[in-house]
Amino acid sequence: MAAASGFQLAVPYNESVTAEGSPRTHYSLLNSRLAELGPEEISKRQQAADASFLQQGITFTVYGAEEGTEKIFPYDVLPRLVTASEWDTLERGLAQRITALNLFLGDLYHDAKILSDGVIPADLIYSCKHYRREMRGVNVSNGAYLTVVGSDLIRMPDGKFAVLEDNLRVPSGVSYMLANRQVAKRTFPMIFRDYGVRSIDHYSQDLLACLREIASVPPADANVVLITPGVYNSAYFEHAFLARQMGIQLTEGRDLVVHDNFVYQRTTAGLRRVDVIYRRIDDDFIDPVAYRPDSMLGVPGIMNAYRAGNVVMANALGTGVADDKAVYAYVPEIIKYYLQQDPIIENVPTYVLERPKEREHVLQNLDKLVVKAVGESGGYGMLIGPHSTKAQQDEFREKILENPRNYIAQPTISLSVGPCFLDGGVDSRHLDLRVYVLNGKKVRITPGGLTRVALKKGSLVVNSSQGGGSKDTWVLHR
Amino acid sequence: MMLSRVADCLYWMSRYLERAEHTARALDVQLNVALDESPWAASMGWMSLLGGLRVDLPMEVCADPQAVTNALVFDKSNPSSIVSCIRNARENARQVRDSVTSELWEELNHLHLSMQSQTIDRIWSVGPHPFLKSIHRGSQMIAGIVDATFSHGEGWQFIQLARYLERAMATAWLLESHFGMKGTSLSEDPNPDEFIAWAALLRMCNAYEPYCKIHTVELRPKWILQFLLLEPSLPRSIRFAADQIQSAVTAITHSTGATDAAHVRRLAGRLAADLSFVSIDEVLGDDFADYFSGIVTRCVEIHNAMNDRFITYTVAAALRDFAART
Repeated sequence: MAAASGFQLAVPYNESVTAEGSPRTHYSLLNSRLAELGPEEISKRQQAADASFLQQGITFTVYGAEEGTEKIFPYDVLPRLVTASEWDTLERGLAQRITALNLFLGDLYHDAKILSDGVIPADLIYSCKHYRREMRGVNVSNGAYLTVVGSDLIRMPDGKFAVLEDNLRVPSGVSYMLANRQVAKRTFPMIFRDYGVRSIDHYSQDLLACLREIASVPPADANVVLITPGVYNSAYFEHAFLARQMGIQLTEGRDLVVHDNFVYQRTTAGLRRVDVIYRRIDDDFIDPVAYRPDSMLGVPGIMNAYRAGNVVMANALGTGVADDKAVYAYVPEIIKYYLQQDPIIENVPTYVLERPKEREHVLQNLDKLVVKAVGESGGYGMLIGPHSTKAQQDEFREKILENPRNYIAQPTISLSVGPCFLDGGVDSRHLDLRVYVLNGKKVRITPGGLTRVALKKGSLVVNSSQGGGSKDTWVLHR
Repeated sequence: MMLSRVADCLYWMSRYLERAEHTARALDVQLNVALDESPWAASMGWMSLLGGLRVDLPMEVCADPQAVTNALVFDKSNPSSIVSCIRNARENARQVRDSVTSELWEELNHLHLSMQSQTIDRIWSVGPHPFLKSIHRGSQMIAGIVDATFSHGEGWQFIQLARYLERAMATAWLLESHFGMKGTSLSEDPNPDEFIAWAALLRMCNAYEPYCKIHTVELRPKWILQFLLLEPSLPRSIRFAADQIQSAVTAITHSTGATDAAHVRRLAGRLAADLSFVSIDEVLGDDFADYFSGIVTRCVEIHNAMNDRFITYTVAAALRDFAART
């Protein structure tokens, strides 16, 4: 790797090979089966897998390109393996994290004790662009702020998982987890069977159960709908997929009307009351009366119905404050504060640039660090120091000095690498793992996830908008 | 119970598919018979087809089968071209992806993708028949998949309603155009060109073989008219379509508990009753153009009434309804 100023990254953790160069035990079955099949046969199966994504219309919409261009999400046929004991740690750690973050949000929008106790500086919260003043004092049904969370995990060079990002607003990608599994089972049925992989098929049942549990009416009576921005949204396939899997109605803003603070859907049999909304529309667009008046996606007046407690939304509004990248730095303290426990999964070390000492250090080491804008996601608005030019570094230096609150920095962590099948052969690529956590009356975590792959050799960016792909994740029974 | 928008999308998906099937088959038949006809008869045949499809093309295009085919199949600027119909059908299905079965979606997606790789030059170089056949077969396959995989509830009824409204109108236009050009003299012993043209009309309605089963191969204009207009057992006759429209309207008003939908039920019932009890001599005594445009107008009225009642109703009216129910 040609790193600037002779800076070297730590050797990344290899998912399938030990530091001594021998294959890890749980990968040996895969290796030997792949050798038996041979590259030609694997190529054939890769093509069949790609064709099946296209046929099923499992595509995402590319913005900016010609109207409504649909692409398939690049898929790698080789599964990523996670052992039972690794999963056990992840499961406990993520349940702990979502529980603490949920309590944090409830506190923040009521008494804000964590601020008065000085654990987190108040201006850090109040300057957050996703903090929603209008949520102050709103009693969210069942105290459920976070119902669906997608946590991005990476493996540190020592092999331990760490949380890189919590996605607490409208995390996406779970349909690819489910679709990848369907394809993986057809691609390598025998290998799948012989490995003993934990099932993920019940995700949609768990999701629906959680959505019913947070309703303010008896769960069995709750009319649950999913609201989507519509067919031109990049994740539309996922919205339709989940609605179909759960058997609930896929609605758009124009299907709903608010009257006397109740939400109704327009059906062929007239109006019908809506109790729970699994919303896949961002806060800003949900109600053109309360937020952006130019939004055509939302439902005018829905905020009033929401604040009156007549409709439940998942996730709650204002949850984005807790996945702000500067607030992220405080999650270990948040866990200690609310649960009196040590975090089971660590954070990636993070510099908060509002603190002068840390800012000074970061500005001097821009060529070694990753700098991220706090409110952005999807790999946008970031600087990867070792892969950046002097001009880019100067640009970020200025931006940071202008508005330090808007940025954080982290050491450049070499994501772990795992085997991928590319151009007719097996090669290593960097990958991460998004795990989907559901939270109703209890936390439910589907044993699996979306492993995202940086398909470009040496690249550390796994986002689909930036040339990333994905592969199935097999959580093993043993 | 379903979202109004969903009903609307299913409805239009179905109409576009029916339109694509009809256009593909009619074009396929005409391209085939034009090979056998004298040049004069062939050009009459083209005029009659384009009139029946309500397509207005420049004269120089009409004279060139390849150009006509291109316009009817590949012209993206024409919302009724086959490529537009299939794209629109798929787009409507995609908007309600959760309300259509995966079997339907995959077949429709397949049909759409198979269109993308085709050009007029390519299909013309091997002869357009296999391609056009793949379109109407694909549409028929989808109709079969709809019947086999959908639950026959409200959504399916909207699909039925759309299919038969589209079909009734398309058949009415085709008959109007054909009989309008051939005149009402209805010679009883057709010459070879006439024979070909009448057989083509039957084939365009998938009715040639069923006709022969009943009337043998003696093609008599009056019998053909009666068969395509009034035969209760022929799936592409207008009478059959009217019966299906009435049955779909009845089912939809029942399942939505629309007690005040008498208006639309009356429209559908009247159309079906008129076609059940009219005699062919009464039709022949009428002006053809008036008679068929009357049928089309009544179909449009049913479409509008259904739309007003179930899809684009005002919220104020619906709130009154909601209050009355609870």
